[in-house]
Amino acid sequence: MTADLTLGIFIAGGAYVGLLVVIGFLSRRARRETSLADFYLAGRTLGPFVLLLTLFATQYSGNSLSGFPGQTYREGVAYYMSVTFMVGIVSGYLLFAPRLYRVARSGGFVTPSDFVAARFRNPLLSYLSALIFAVALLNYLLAQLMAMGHATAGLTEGRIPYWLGVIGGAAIILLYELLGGMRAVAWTDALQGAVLVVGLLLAVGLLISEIGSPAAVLRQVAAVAPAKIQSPSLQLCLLWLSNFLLLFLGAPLYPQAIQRIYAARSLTDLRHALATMALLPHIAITTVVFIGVAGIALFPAESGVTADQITFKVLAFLVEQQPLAYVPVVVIMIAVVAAIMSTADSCLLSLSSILTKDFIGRSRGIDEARLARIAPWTSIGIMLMVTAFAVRPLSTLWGLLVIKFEILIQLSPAFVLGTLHDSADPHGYDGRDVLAGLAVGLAIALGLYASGHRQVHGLHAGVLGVIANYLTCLASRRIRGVRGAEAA
Amino acid sequence: MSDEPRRHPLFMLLVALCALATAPFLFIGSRPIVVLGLPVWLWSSIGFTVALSLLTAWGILRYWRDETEAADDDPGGAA
Repeated sequence: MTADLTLGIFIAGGAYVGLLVVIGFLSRRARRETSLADFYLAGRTLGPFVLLLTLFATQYSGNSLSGFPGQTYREGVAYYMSVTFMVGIVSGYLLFAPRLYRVARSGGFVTPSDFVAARFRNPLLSYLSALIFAVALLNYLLAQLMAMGHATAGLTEGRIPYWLGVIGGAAIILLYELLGGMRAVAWTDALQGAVLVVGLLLAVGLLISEIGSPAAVLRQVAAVAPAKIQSPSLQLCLLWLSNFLLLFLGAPLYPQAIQRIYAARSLTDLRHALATMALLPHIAITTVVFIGVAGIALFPAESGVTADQITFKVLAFLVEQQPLAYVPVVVIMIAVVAAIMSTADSCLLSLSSILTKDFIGRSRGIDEARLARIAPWTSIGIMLMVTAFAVRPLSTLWGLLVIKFEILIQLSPAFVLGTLHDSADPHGYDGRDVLAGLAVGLAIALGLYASGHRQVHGLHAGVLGVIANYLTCLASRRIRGVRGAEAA
Repeated sequence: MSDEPRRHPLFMLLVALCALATAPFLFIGSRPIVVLGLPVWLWSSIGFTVALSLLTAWGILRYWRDETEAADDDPGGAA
């Protein structure tokens, strides 16, 4: 990367961080009360524009921007599957979001486990669901902080070392989050989402003008690496389907996503935001896949470029070819950092809400006014702990946490089946059904994973676990029904 | 009156079929035939992915209704 580009990143990055802090102060002035709903859900006042951009920025992490091109570079054009599974996340909301929105509104829910607690009235299931959400978020937050350290070190060519990138990023996120809670996170997400959209649109324009249309790039790929455009094998098709199922059932359960459903100002705003989200992968993810495909054409295997480097290599190539690309490329690079920060801040807020309300509040019976005062301290404690781990990541801890999706997806029946009936409905699923399914699903997913079978014939351990999980729920309800009929 | 997409079996069946068709099972092992610069299997996946996202967006707007919607949208209206 040229020294000039690094200077541009320093200036633009500094301005961007300054803007985030200003937004944090503005959001503090907009606070209405000291309550959990105000701190964690912005008082349920998010309108359509902010809601859309915060959903977008939260869902598209740093991995989407820098990881997906790398995957495409490694696996070829078949990684177009990432567009499919990002659409699948929004399709997944069709299974439970309408009813969840309604009951969350009437029940005043703050965390996802509030739904589980209210619907199933089973303390063990409530705690277990909160624990699973917390583990998934802890992983995600840790991954984002580590990505931030790597991104800042990479973008500044080591002038900002990894550890400083982690600590600096964590401090900025914590600052604006403490100032305005969800309101600050959503408003900064709106800025980060806008930077992302602009960055991606600029990337498309630059790639087409400098490298050629997608058809022209694919012709180059066919010449240098024909295997990368081959039709996928059966194994890859099964993996495609498994990835889709994993995200279709798992990603809508991310607590930060569920809390954005709770935080919507109105149903109309939420519907419009989600309907638009269903279309966005065609712009956002197609672009990042295109970057990876362009990388295959520009940097064949013998060039020595690794998949992790491909995004930055392609962007640096664009600047070398076209000096006018300088500003757009700086915007795209800031967009990568924006994607990481927007996901990290949402994870921190959600994790803080779960620890404050589901663990501290529920176990000690503390009233909501006191919990609202505890909430910022929970955020500080979490950020200190996760930052310490991110600066010196323990490989064993990391190994345990990378399976977050395999675990998170096991909560799918609690939400999908749980929103089919009211808690008072005797024909509905009850806590024992879901608990039995969860135990079976977790045992299969973790057992397969521990025995080294992360995938079986292309199907993820978590997907096999959740199939067994659903079947167990169905069987458990059926057995209860038969017993009930016999007793009657 | 409340409504939600999953109460419409035909709609959900279409979503499932589109999702299944996005994976190019029909083209396994075939020689990549290129049409307008892209392999046919990729056109097929793109087509079904676009169909899936349009269906999802349409389902959200068409079938997601709630009795609280009118009250939500009109803060001064009856709860």
